[in-house]
Amino acid sequence: MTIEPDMNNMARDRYRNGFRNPSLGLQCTIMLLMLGVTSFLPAQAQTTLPSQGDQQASTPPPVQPGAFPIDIAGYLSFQSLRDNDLQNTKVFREYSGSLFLSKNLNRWRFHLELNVNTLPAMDNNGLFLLPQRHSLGVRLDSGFVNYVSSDALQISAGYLFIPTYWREHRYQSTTLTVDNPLLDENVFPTAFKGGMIHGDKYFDDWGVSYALYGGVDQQTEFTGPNRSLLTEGARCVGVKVTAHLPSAHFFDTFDVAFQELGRYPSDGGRDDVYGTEFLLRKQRVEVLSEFAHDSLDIVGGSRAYIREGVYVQPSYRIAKKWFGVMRYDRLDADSRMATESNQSRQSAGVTFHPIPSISLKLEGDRYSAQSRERAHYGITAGAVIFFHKP
Amino acid sequence: MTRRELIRFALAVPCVRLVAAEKADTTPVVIVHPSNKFDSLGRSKVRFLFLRRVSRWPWGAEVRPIELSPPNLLRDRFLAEVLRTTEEQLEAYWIDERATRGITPPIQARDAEAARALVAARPGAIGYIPASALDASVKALRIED
Repeated sequence: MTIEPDMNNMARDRYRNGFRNPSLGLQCTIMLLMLGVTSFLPAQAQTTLPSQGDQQASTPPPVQPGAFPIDIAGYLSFQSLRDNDLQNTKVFREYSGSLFLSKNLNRWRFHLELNVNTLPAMDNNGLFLLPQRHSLGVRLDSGFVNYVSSDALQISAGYLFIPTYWREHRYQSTTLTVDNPLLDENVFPTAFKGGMIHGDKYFDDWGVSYALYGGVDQQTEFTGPNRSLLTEGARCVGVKVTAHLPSAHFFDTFDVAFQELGRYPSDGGRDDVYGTEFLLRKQRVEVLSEFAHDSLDIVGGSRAYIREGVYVQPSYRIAKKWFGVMRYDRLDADSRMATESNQSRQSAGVTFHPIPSISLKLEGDRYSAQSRERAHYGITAGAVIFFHKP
Repeated sequence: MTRRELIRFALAVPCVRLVAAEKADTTPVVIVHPSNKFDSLGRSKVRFLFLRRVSRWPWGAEVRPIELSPPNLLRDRFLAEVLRTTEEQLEAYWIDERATRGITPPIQARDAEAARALVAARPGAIGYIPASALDASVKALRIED
């Protein structure tokens, strides 16, 4: 359990405390070892997957001699927020880096995601690999092994993200906004230790994806007017179904998803979480939206309170390398305090990709809460560079 | 036919041929290994294959997409008409796939001959080349809307 002092400010909501399991854990160690061992398997193993990587070829190379043994990718990110309502400081900056290590061996895939940042208290996810310091955190964000029986039947085990859209696609290199939506990390748990059966089935013009998962989750609990924060692992079971709908080629992407998750904390209560996702793309236009609802502490069929969030994010590709984005964002963190826990944010920004691996972002935000008479404003900037090898 | 009309005609014929040839060379033909059991595929299916959303053919062979390296007119046309994306969006897509699922982009062939040779050498391969580069070492697929 960890306690965070009252921030009383939405911009500072991001200073949430994280999961505080200082031990790496047996499964993470095993995962690292597996990745290390598989990285240095002889070239014979490489012959099974000659298609890895984006290497150029002018003649058929059935074997890639000297190919790098694992796929390494990552990004370095810088964020700066200037807000007219932060109590102690008007500006904060964060430097972070993420590293993705992957290895494919026939039907097996090993994947690790590590993160280092200078404001570890801001992020509410991951397992700390090293003792946390005030200005530096090194975390394992995810680490799993995936077995592909077929596209429709895959099995993953390890430390996995709860498969909400933003959790799975939140990388600063690809998001159009700097800030995450308010509902991210606050309604659905962020990750869990356990297993997942998942798959996709694509037909001519449409497809279905599904995920069934279970394990011990990482969930944050906001309680009381001082916004104390509890972190507790609870057993959880979830299911997600995504329909990739046909549109006779009118839309480039038309996805609708529904997810339901049950949490069983050790105190005997139960939480029911469900959410929907919507993603539409047509040429220059994209609309992304998520809704999530959590009924908490259900005992004898009646819940103690709810937590609920939604965002809608339309974006437009203004020019080849320029994107414009807006987002309406809302979170009710605790329905028992209707006048204090409702928060909303409206954002508008631009993203510029001078080259595909570099993202420069600038956005303006307007924050408002029921507990405050006046809205306040902030400007957030971000710079990201993505790298990979090979 | 007057002399002036004759000159116009003489000039126009090679121009029309040139345009037609150029059009044929920038129209991508999707090719697979000759052992591939499909003769035609839907456009969306081809898109799923090149975006590596589908990793195996129904008979179990691993899907190995081969694409032309940029800059390339044929590639631009394939991206626009089949993948329905732009170079920048595709780059972003592969960044996301690498980070999310550890999946890497397809092999890039330097030119049509290299792409054809790669597809001819790999049972699960799928690529695209101009019609002028087709030969018996690969099988052309009919794309259906």
